[in-house]
Amino acid sequence: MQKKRNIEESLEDALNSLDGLQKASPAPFFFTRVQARIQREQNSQWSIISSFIARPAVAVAGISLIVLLNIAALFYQKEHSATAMLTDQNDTATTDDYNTTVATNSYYDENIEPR
Amino acid sequence: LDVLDERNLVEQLKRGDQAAFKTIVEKWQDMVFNTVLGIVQNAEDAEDIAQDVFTQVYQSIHTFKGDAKFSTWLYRITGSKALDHLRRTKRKKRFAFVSKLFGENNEALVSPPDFHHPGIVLDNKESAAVLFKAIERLPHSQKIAFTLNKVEGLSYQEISEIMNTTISSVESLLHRAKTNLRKWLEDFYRENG
Repeated sequence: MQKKRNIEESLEDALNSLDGLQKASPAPFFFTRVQARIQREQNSQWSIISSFIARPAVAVAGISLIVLLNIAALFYQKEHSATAMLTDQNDTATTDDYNTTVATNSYYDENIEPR
Repeated sequence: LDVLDERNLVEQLKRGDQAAFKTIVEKWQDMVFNTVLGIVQNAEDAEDIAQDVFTQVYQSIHTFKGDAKFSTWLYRITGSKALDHLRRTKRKKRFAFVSKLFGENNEALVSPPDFHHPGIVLDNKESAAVLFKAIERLPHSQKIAFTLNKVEGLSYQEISEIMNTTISSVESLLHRAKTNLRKWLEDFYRENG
């Protein structure tokens, strides 16, 4: 009986032991350490990016990609200008046909004898 | 700080004002540290996590829309970082245990020493250490609710806002937490009494 009462007492003491608890504070100069951490993280982000770019495989792949893109752009431009020239020629031909028609019409028009 | 001051500080921080950030850290560092300490029960880890919380605040302040109070947002980040830490620690412990089973790790698995919160009244030191040991066993949501209530002294209303739930859910969480703690403490005192 006594033991049970002791257990009950200890249990209540434990459950109430957080009453009157004072808030814990971090060690002094906490803000300075937070600032240093932010700085460190920013630096590490940049160093990760720069070390990734500086890898020979990545650098060669990057340069190759740029060269390939340039070559592709050059070909595209060449092809595009050739197509544009052809289109221009066709346009001119159509205009000529039109002119011929007009000319033919006027020829017939001119040869119509007045009644 | 009233709500208006809080809002001004947040706006200043969004513009990259270092002085505003310093004010924010100094104003809320105890709240963050104390909460984390209550959850992870280790001063070194709590310091590290608290730094991590403020680093995230600095980096993601633009995501704070002002729907909730700034302190509520801060408590959410704090809780989530502390829980991440607990999950990582649990994973490590499990891995160490498995490694030991397969004979890869010959180091003995030592349980951490009793945790003594620095803000506990001297007379309650031993009882609080036993209570913290029991709190460690609570499921995460009960642990968060209990810590916010008992260690941070927050009301049910405030806890419900932080945990994004209803007041009755918080009441239920705390009731279950106390029932669990009572059961474990009873077992403990029966064995060690």
